[in-house]
Amino acid sequence: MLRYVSYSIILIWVLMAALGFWIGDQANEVMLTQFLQPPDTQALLGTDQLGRPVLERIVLGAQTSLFVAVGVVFFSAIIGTSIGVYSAYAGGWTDRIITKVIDVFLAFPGLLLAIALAAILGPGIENVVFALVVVGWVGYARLARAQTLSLRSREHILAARTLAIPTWLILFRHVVPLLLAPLGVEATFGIAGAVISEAGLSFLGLGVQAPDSSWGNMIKEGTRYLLVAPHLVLAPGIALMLVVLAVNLIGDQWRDHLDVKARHNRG
Amino acid sequence: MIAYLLRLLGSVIFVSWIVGTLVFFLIHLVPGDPVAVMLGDWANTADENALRAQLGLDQPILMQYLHYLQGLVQLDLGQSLFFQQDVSSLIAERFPMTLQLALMALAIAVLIAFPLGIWAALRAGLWPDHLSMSVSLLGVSIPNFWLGPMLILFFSLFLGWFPVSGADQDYSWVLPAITLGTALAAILARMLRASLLEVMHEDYIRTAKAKGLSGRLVYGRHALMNALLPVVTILGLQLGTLLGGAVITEVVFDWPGLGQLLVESIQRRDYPVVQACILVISVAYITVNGLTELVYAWLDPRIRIRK
Repeated sequence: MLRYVSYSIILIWVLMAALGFWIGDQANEVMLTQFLQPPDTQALLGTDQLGRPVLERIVLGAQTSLFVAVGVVFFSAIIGTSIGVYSAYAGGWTDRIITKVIDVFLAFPGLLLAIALAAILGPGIENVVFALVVVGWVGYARLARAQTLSLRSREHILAARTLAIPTWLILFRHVVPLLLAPLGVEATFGIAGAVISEAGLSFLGLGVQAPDSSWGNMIKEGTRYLLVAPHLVLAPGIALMLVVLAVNLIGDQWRDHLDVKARHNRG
Repeated sequence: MIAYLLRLLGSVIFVSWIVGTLVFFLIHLVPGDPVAVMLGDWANTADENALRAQLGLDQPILMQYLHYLQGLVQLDLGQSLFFQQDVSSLIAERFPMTLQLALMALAIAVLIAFPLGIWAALRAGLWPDHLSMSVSLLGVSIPNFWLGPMLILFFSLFLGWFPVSGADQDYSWVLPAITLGTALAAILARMLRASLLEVMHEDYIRTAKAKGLSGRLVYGRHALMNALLPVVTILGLQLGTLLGGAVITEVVFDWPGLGQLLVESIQRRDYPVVQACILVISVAYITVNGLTELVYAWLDPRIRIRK
C-alpha cells in the first residue's frame, strides 16, 4: 500500500516536471491586480505576491528539483564509482592517496562545502549541480571501494585475470555489475539528499534565482508573507516533503530487500 | 593511550590545515576579481589598486598564502570589509550563539530519540515500532527551512507562546533548537532501534535473562549500554550536519550566530569573513569528530587495544 503511494508520488513528480515544458514562461507572468489571492477556482493553489499562480510555479519547481536531483546523482555516482573501483582494484599507493582524499572530504561538513562553492561560483542551476557533485561523489567512492575490495579476490575475477582479460573489461563486466544493487540504494537516498540540498541552497539565495522557480526560493519568498498568505509556504513545503518522504521510503524498501539476513529473519 | 591521543591530535591538526588551505585557494583562485565586485562597476582603477594593496591582493599568491597561515597561527583572521572590525572578534561574538543553539538542539534530539528508539526496539514489529519509525521518517524528510516557518506560524503567531525571531527575548532559543533537533532526533532514533535489536540477539542478553535479572537491568544495563556504541559515533558525525543545518536554521529565525554571519557576508561579498566562518565551522566539526573517536575508544576497549 505504502509502496504504491510512494511510487505514485514519484510518478506525479516526474509528470509535473514534464508538464513544466508545456507551461513554460506563462507561470512567471506578473499580474499585480491579483496578488496574494487565496486558493480558488481561478488559481487552484492561489497566487503569490506578484500575482503568479502558485500551482504552475510548483510544477516549474518540480522540473528544477528533478533536473538537479538526476544531474547530481548521475554525475556523483559515475565519478565516485569510477574512483572507488579503480582505487580498490589498483591498491598500493594509489589506493592510499585516494583513501586520504576521501577522508578529507568526509571530514568537511558537506552542506557547508556546497554553500561555500555555490557562494563562490555564483547562483545558477548548473553551479548548484556542480557544488552538490563535488560534495556527493565521496559517498559512492567509499561504498564502491569497500565493495570492490571484497570482490577483488573472488574466483570469477581471478579466472578472468588468468585468462588475460584486460583490466578495464574485468572492471566493467565482472566488478561493476555486482556493485549496482548497493549503489542503487545509495543513489536513491542521494536523490532525496539532492532535492533537499537544492531547495536549501535556493532558500539561502545561493541556488536557483528569481524569476526561475524552485521550491526552496518559493518558501524563502513566502516566509515574508507568512501571516497574510500561509499557502505560499505551505504548498511548496508539502510538495518538497512528499517527494523526499516517498524517495526515502523507496530507499528503505530496497535496502531491506537487499539485506538477505534481515529478509530471512522476517520470514 | 597517550600515543593514541597524540595521533588523534595530529590528525585533527592535519585535516584542519588541509581544509584551511582548500578554503584559501577556493576563494583566491576562482575566476572573478573580488575587488571589482566589492567596489562595483563605477570604481576607478586607482581606488581598486588601493584596496587591492590594502588587502594584500597585489602580492603573489604564495606570499598571500604564507601570510594567511602566519595569521592563522596567531589567531588573526584578518579585517572585515564591512564591519571595520577584526574578523576574530566578530567570530568570538557569534560563535557562542551557534554553540548554544547546537547544544540545545542536541539535548532536544537526545530527549526525543531515546524514548522513541527504545520503545520501538522493545515492541519491534508491533504498532509502536511502526508508529515511531514513521514519525522518525517524517522527521528526516521535513527540511528545516520549512519546519521553521511552520513552527513560527503555529507557536509564535497562532498560539503566541514564543518570539518569532532574534535572540533577545527569553525562550527565543526554543523554536530554532526544536527545528534543528528534530532531524537529528529522527536519525538517532532509527539508529538506536537498529542497534538495540542487534544487541538483543546476543548471547550475553540470553545469559542475563537466564540468570533471572529484572527486565530493567537486562535492557537498561546490558542491552542499552552495548547498543550505545554505534549511536555515539552517529551522534558525533551528525553534529557536523547540525552545524551545516544551523546555517539554514539561523537564517530562518534570524539567530545571530556564525551561520547567519556566513550567509550575510556572502551577500555582502565580505570575503575575509566568509573564509573565516567556513574555516571555524569546519575546524569545530573536525574537532567534534576527533572527540567522538576519543569517547568511542574510551567506551570500547577493543579499539584502544587494537590501535
